[in-house]
Amino acid sequence: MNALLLPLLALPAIGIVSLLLFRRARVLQWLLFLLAAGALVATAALLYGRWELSAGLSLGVATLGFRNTPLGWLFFAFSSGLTLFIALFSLSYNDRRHSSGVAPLWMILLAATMGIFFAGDWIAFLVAWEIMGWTSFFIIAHGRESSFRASIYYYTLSLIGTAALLAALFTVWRLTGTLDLDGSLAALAALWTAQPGAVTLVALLLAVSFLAKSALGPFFMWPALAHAEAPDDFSAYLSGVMIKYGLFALVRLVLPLFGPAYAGATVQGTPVFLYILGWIGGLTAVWGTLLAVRENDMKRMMAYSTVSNMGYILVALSVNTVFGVAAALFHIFNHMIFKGTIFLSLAAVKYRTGERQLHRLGGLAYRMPVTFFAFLIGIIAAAGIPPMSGFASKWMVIQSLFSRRMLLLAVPVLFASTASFMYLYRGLHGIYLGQLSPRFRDVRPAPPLQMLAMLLLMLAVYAVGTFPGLALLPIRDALAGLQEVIGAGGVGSQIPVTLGTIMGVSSRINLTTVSFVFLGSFIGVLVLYLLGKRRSRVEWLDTYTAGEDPAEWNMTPEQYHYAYRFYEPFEKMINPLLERLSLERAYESLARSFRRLSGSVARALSGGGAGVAVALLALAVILIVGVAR
Amino acid sequence: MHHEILLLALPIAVSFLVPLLARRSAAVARWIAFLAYLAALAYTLALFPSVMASARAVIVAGWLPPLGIALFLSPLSLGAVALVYLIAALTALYNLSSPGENKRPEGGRSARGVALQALFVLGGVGMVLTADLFNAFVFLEIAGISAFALVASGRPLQSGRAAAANVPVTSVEKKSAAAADSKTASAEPPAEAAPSAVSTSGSLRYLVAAQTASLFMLLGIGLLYSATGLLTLPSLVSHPALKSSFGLLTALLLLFPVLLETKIVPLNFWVGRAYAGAPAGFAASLSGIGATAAAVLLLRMLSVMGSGSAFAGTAGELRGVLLLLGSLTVLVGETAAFREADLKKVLAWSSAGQMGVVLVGAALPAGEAAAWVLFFLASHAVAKALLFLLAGFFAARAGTNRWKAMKGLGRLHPLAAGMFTVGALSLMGLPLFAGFWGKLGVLRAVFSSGGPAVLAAAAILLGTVAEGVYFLRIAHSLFEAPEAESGTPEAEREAPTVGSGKPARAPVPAGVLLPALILAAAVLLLGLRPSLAMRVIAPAARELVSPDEQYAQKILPSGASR
Amino acid sequence: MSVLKSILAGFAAMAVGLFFMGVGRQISARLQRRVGPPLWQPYVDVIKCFARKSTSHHFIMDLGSMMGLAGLVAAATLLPVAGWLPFPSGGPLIVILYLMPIGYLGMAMGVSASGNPLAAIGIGRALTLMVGYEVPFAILLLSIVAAFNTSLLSVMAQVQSGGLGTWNAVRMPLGFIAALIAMQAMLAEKPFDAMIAPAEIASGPMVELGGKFLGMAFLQHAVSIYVVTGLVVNMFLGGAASVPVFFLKQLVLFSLTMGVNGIFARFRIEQATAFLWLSAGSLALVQLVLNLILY
Repeated sequence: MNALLLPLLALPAIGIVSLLLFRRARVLQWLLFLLAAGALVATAALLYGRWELSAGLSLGVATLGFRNTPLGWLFFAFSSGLTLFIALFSLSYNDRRHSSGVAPLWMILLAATMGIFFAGDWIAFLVAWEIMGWTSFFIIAHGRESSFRASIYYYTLSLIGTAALLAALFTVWRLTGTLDLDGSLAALAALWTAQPGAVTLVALLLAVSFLAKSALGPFFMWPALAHAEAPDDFSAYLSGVMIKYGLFALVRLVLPLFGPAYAGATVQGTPVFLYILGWIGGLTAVWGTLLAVRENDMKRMMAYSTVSNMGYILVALSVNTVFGVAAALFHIFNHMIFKGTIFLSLAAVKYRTGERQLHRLGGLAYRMPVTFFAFLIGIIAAAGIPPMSGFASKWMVIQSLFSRRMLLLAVPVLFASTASFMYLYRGLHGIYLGQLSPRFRDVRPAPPLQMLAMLLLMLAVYAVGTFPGLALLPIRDALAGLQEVIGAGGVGSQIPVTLGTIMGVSSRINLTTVSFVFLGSFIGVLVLYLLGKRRSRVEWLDTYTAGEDPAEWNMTPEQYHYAYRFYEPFEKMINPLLERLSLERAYESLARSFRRLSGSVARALSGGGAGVAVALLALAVILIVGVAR
Repeated sequence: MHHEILLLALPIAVSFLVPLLARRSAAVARWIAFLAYLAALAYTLALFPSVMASARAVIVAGWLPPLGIALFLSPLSLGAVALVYLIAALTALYNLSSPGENKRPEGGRSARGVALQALFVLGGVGMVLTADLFNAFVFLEIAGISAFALVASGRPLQSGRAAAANVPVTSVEKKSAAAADSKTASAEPPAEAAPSAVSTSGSLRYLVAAQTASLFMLLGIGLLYSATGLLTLPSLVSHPALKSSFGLLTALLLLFPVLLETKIVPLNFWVGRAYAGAPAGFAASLSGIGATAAAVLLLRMLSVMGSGSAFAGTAGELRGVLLLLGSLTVLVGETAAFREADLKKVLAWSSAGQMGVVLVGAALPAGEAAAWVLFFLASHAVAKALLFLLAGFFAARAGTNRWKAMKGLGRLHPLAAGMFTVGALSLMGLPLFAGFWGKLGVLRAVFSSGGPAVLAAAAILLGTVAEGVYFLRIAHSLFEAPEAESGTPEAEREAPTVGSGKPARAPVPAGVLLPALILAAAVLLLGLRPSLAMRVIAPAARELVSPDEQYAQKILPSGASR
Repeated sequence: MSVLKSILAGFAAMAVGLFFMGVGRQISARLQRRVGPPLWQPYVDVIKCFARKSTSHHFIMDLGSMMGLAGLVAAATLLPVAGWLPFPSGGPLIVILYLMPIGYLGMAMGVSASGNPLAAIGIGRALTLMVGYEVPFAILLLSIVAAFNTSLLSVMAQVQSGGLGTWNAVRMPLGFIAALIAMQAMLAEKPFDAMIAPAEIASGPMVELGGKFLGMAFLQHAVSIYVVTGLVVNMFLGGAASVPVFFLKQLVLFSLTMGVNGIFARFRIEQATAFLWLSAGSLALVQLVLNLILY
């Protein structure tokens, strides 16, 4: 029973016990959850560097193998850290009024996450993947009908992905005869010359499965439902950790197929398959951004933002170099923390006000300053603006594209990145700035524990922004072992980085310096500000109105807060395009036809005499056909 | 006389004794049945060690086959018998209690019903143990007729507009129907309910289908006898091959009633109404015992019809036809279940779909998937029985079979709803539960045989997607708060369970809780430690894969097969 | 030492920018057949602003205004002027392109906190327009990377140091035209000034700004003129051998901008964005494809 296996077994056990025995003891459940998260961080610390560690869980008919790999450890460490912060937040968030009761299932989910990251063979991976699926379904739905609809949408896509995963699993088994992950992938990669069709099929099936899980390509619409309707603290986990599973699996399971043994066509130096994936990522980035701009619900907006960011990561992975993978991992990590910050601050707002619609909020920065700052830091990072962390990873993503001269693909990336300012600012203005509604005049700031969680995350965002090496150096070390898999030497095989500098193909930047320059400028401007004449505070409704008094028009602060349909001109421009290319409508009609089919099949088979006649007729036909052959 | 006859004698004894002893009180009948099944289960388990060491045939009345009747006790048959008696005992335990305030004397719980159920159990046990075709036919008939009678005696809660419209109801019934359809159901139990149209039509359909199928089987037996002069299955194993088209026709005719019992397309049009009309305890038996026993018989017959037997020439085409039928069943079953409003019908169609998977697995060449098909069958039997029992309980509490009306019951009875979810997740094939390993094994075998079997795999995978959606829909609606909207604060929604002390309804009766707990524990145990079942299943699978040494030679005295 | 140089760079940016604003006002005036204010008028305006009282609704408004100017000054320190940099950063173009928005974001945050919906409307328009001009500009960046494999401004200037024929304005004319169009929008001059729109939304973001806030906004505009024209000079006009020549080239560009400003009316914001994509965007895209093929 080593450090790998103990948490894998203990967590679900504690979760099940907690579910059965502690149903009424809310605080105890969340305290256990916090302890579990802490234990996972401790496990991560213990596991670092011990790459030879492995464990097997024997179940008689199969053995589930787990292995401590650098890549898996990276993901595990990042996600455990984020989970710890979220657990801190959840302890305070789940009080009497807001409790979602999902702590036990969440603990099982944590174990499944660990299983996915450390899986050593296909069956272990599948088991962990499936457990993750059904626990997350129940958590997202958490007993509410509207959340259920969102959750079943997500789970249906997930089931389709699992079906593809099963098909891929068995095909790999048949082709290579082994279930060991690394062994079977190496054997499969060696089959490129002999059976390119089969390997492409496996890659395609795996890609479908993992694109569905990470909401890329044609599966982009489920986070807007699931992340928005999930319990508010769980949304942070969904957007931060769970949506990355597909990308992790792509790096772990699909990229090795396109390593040095690849013998097929390439476009601009990268395999055709990955090139197409890259474009899917780019288009997803654009689509997610456009949809986010239209949203009036703060959680849905941020969910689309997540989709958009997943697009960037897929783009970085598609260049098929170690540098690209590093850029992707770095962006994954950054996204984890800044999205976590954003969603936790949204959860704090919802906790205090109960509102999710932008036009019903406003001015909350004046009452909840720490929450406001957390959100501000988060969106600066999300927009990719130095000195916060998002810039370094976006820069590296673009540099990885430069290394392959895939500059056309950089266009949608830069478009999406720029347009993200729009919706990020809208969130900031709609929720925190503008006019404060009298309903919220007495809103108290977030509780101390929630503020602590947000502060820690803010600090992480700023630290990584100023010293990108904090995240990049572990990433580089972890990827050292990936050289044989992805391709040693050549373009982009090095990840030059120091604590403060990042280097790319076309330039190098010392982010520490940039950060200090900004600080310095700020201090300079502050001096300038202080030199000016003193300013005086005025009332909120005391604004420029060409000499009139808003009170005379019975103007209320809510009416005076501009938030609804903030980007109406832009929406006018893009709505025709979005309407015409609506994938949601396609899925809707598919679901509707299936429902209709189901009804008619059931009716056909229950209809008395007609049914019997049809049945016997069909059977006679089969018999005749069978006999006549 | 061989004491193994007890396996058949106990249910016969129950069915004959009960009408004599239990004139006054149905409760006595139910206790007799429960104790008898428990004893039979214990006896079966006691037989295990000797049978695992070596399978043996029990010759009845001293007449050697191929003329006489032989019972074959092997890991496969004894394992199936143990499963049958387990489910029978648990169902009897369920019938011992009253599932709710509803005290209407449902068909399955009267003395007559108990006797009929014993006959059904007899049919199931018999068709698994026997080695003779005609014998199998007889047991199938017994099971069929008793099932028909039991389904007809059901008094289901009003489950839909059709039922309410067809039945000439009294005004009392109509009021309860209207009340039952409202969300916060608290139906007044009427004194004596009129016979329900659903039960009657369902049982009639079943009867028509079963009798037609039996007729075909009789025809098949006749044809076989005329061609080979044999009636016993083991004799067919090493028999010279019949002409291919003749063999195919005969094989299909013989398989008819079994396919019908296992709800294979296109013989499953009776499924919806029959299950909806049946009493809850019997629905569990119908699926857990009936379908399982028939499936074991099917596997046995298919293993005999494999290569090197009388049907050697047709094996390939037969496999093809069965593969097609199995895939169609999976698709049809899962699709039909999707839209159903009646919970029992949903479970019934789901059963059909799962049996389709069994048929696909059984139709694979060389019995590759034999072990996993058996595991799948066992996990399905256990999980389905669990679901049907709990469905009966929830239906009684909600006053209707419609699952939409059961919304929120999970908050009042979290343990029951949790076990229901466990059963549902197992059927979906999710890990931590038994169904995962079975489905995985069957799929693996399907994929590795390649060729057209891949289409069957696609059908199974599609079925899994649909199945996941509708099962989770139902499982989750149990936990939803009845009047929840997204703006309501949690406190109101949690009122029934958190901190308010006594729940609003009576607690789950022991007769429901105990069987459900046992079944749910079995599901979890098999999911976490599948090797426990493999100890019995592995030799059973070997029996199916090589019927010659394991099966035929043990039954037929050497040299007496021609 | 570099700290002092950075301060110098900041001051230079403000001073030169204000001077350009003065020239710009003269050009507008002459186009409208007026005498116009003297060239040093902006300096006087700024000093006057700082000397006046002002109102603020919340400290976030103060913070935002400061952030606005700070972001742009930071970008100015990264701009190589005839090869001169306060510290060896090489003039990273991508960083500058992403650092400038923090200026706008800061200002946007500040004016949002003023509570005036007109300011919010103006910011919304500004951000919509930003998508319009940033995308073509980013594509131009990609074109230069395609050609010279660098995104450092100092390297770009160096590559074009061989005389008029080596200027990117000559070698990549389509890109240059796109840059000019984008620059017009970046400087918020007509026809792309709907976000200011004095008669429509009362100056948009600046509606609540008075006193030192207005002064800082002026300075921000000045520095943005300096930075944007400096970017285009480095990217397309070959940088410069000496600082005065650099400023001269910037002045020429800015005069061109103000000339166009004087002649045109104002686009609606969606028209403006669409126009930018269609004209500047497609030109830049064509240039990118050409560069990918040619280099």
